Amino acid sequence: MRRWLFTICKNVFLRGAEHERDTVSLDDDPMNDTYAAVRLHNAMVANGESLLLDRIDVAPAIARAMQQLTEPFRLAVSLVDMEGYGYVEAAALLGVPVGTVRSRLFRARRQLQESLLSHARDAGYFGTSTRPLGGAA
Amino acid sequence: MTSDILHHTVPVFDCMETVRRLWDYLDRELSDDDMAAVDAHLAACSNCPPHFTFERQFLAALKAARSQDGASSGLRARVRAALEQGSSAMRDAGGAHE
Repeated sequence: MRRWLFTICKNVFLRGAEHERDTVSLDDDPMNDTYAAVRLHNAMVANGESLLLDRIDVAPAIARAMQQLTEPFRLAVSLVDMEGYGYVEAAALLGVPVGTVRSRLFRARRQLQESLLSHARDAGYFGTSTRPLGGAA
Repeated sequence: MTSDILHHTVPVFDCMETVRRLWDYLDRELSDDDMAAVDAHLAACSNCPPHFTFERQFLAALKAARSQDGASSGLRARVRAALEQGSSAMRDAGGAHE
């Protein structure tokens, strides 16, 4: 069943979205968000915040953070991270190029992590910290 | 053994190239060769593995939070509807099997 659905998604994607593959602008380069996620983790380690996910009540915090995402980003996370669809499947379902799914997904993940960290700091899990989010290389 | 090496060479990634593939690796969206190259780098590097461990933990937390995400249940209904529409279209076109 799932394979069949994937075949449908793949066909839809290949027919309708392939020509859009080169339209993602440099501003949407998902690598920037990948590196930013690593910088954020570096900052968390430097601030003694690397146990973020062990300290907070993660599920409700994630649910709140998800609500702060705009719809396109929330959909990317929901489809790939929560529902388990691959990039191609998610692209077909959303009617966008695979590159757009990746850029939305990576950006959304970074925003979610920043939200979780802000939540943890606001809730006093880590005491006071002055280093900005993602500010360490 | 030597002929295997000559016929097939797995790329070698440095830290930058490995981290660049962090999400694609964790999502298992890389080619087999690139997956193997990231694995090899992670086995030999002391700097990169903590990032991958943290992000893997983050993705697991996202997946575990699925049931508490109200938007997700609504999304599932929309995805089902979209797929049903798509499958109907495929059947009409005579292209759906299995």
